[in-house]
Amino acid sequence: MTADSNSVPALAADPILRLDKIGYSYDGSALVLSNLTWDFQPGRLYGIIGRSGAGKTTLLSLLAGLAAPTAGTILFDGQDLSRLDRYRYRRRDVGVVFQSFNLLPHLTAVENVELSMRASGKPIPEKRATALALLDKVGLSEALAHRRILKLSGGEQQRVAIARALSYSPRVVLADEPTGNLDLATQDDIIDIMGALAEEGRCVIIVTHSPEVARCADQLYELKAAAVQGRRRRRPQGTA
Amino acid sequence: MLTLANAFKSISRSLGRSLLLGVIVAVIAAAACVALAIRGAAASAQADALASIKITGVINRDVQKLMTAVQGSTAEGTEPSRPDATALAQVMAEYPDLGLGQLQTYAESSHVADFNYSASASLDTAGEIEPYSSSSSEEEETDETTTGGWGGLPGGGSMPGGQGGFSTGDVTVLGASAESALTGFISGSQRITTGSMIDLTAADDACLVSNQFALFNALATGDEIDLANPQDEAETHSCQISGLYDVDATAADQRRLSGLTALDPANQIYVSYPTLAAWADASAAAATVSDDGQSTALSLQLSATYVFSSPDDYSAFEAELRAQGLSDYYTLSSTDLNSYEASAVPLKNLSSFATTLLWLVLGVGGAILIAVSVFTVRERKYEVGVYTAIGLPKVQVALQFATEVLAVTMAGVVVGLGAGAAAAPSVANNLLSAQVTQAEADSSAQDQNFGRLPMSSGGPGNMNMDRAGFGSQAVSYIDQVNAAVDLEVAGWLAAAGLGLAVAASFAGVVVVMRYEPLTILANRT
Repeated sequence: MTADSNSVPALAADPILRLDKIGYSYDGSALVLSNLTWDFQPGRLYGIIGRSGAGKTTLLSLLAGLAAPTAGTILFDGQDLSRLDRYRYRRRDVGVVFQSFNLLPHLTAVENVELSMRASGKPIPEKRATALALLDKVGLSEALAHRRILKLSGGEQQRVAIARALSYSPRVVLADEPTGNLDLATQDDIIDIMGALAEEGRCVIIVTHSPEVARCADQLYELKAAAVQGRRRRRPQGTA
Repeated sequence: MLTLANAFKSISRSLGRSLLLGVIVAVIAAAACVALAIRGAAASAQADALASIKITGVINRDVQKLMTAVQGSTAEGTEPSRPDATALAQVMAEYPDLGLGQLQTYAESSHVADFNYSASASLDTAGEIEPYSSSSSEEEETDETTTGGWGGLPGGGSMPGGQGGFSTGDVTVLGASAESALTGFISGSQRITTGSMIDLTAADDACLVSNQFALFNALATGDEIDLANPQDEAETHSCQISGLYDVDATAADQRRLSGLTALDPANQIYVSYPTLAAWADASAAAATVSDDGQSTALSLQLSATYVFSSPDDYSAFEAELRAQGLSDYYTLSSTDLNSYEASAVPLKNLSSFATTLLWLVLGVGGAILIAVSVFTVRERKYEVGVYTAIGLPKVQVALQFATEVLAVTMAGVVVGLGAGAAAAPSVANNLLSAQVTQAEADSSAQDQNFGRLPMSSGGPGNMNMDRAGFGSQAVSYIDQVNAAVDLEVAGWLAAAGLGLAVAASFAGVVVVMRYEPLTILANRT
């Protein structure tokens, strides 16, 4: 990994997530990730790009607490993630929009969102109404909100997955190709939503192939096989 | 709360899966319910039958064992031969019939609920009196002399004066110590129709005679009859008729098959034990002994009966007898218990079948349930991945799955309980009927093999053994059970259902705990 220090702006806030020389290998030999040291600040939108097989989804899994790095440390709010209750971390602190949505098919859209609210244990009043409002915010009508997942299109499922990830107001939002199944107009909507989340003070990290999304990121990390080949920063239009 | 909500939502949203599991459990529960109900009903019927019978026992000298012992000691290493008469007489003298005093000593056992005894003697009629007989009078004139004991009287023991052989007379005089010894009057095969019962504690020479005997001799209550010692016709004893009794026709017909008038119930005369004992004492005092040692004294056969509250008491009493040194040449036997055991054979077979069915159903059903549970969890692997990915601990997910299995299982148990309750009575009685038919067929075939005549049936505990040795034991099988599903059956079924649910859930939990969300979701991707 190489770092372009000239392009990194001075950051006032402490990082909410920090990768400290992390590495990961599935079978103990072939490295997927190696020696990554990155910081993620709250209130910013990060894009992680890279070719297929570069380890983007693996990195997202590490950040989501679904797997532990085989080398190095991930710090959340300054605390070693491996020492935290990762279930609690997942249900309260981080919202994940999976590439394949990972919604429960026997539940309706709004029930999927409500489930995450209940699982978080956070005091969220009027959960049903809040879930419906959230779905409406990501562009899913109330009629669609009461349909079971398998009766929704890919784009609609994507919106439900986003609503679910946001339902308990996590401080970190991770999204794996959140616009991959959407048409251009909907992609713009999702990018706007992600941008708005970052403006609300959340740390939004998006793994993407989309140049549109990459252009909107406050900061962009590029992964290449087993190493990060560079680090660039771009400012989307209209953002500071 | 979240676990419960998720579980019930999952059950309602996956009706096909839930119904499949529920139907399997319902079938298992119905079969188990029927098996449990049959077992319970069989046990209850056996207990009722046991409670309804009076368990009595008598102590007999085991003549066959004595003869075997004599054969063994005199003809060791040689071919079986007739026992040596002298050796047999010696061993019979060494192990005589137990006397009343010893029998009464044994009766002091805490295991004995009641004790009664009676003595019988065969006497001739004297004067104008004739024994009742349906055949010609000439045939009855011949007295029949026997040697040894009178095989028809269980528990018989010789009273003083009973040395050597004796002649069977025209009538049998039975002296009872208590009303409980008069089993015919207790069972209803005999009943007093005229006059009154005699005082069994007094030596007052009062007697009961049968209506046939009275009619045959034109006797009435208050009349006095004379009876003679068959060994010494000059020795007579008188008694006054206190009452007349009727005899059950079936029993009388069976006894009459022997051809001996003394064995005809119509020729049975009842006196008190003290009366008969006084006659025996007087006879012994006046007796003469011939050169070959034969005494003319009136010979009495003693019959003592022990009454027990339960089969356990019976067994304990037997052990106590052995502990007190009673030789193995004496046996304690109970026709009531034997009869009960015989009548309960189909019921025991049914109970055994039900037990086998129960274990089979629970074993096979449990295995199927566990397999279905594991298969279901594997099918729902993705669901496990999603739940754990959004932060639900695996334990909570496993608990949710277990709750689902438990809820569906218990619902299936309730349905199965209903179905089993409806089916159990008819299934139980049909199966029992088949068992009874089989037992009767076996018994009938056995009787035919021995050339026996068909016997009339008695109730449980009513074992009819012909005195003359004709016929087999007539057994009335328990052929009805009330296989109702009661709280006990429901409780056992609920416990079994819970056990199966826990086993199935545990298997599912083990599978769930093996899963890692990333692996599941990555594989699906």
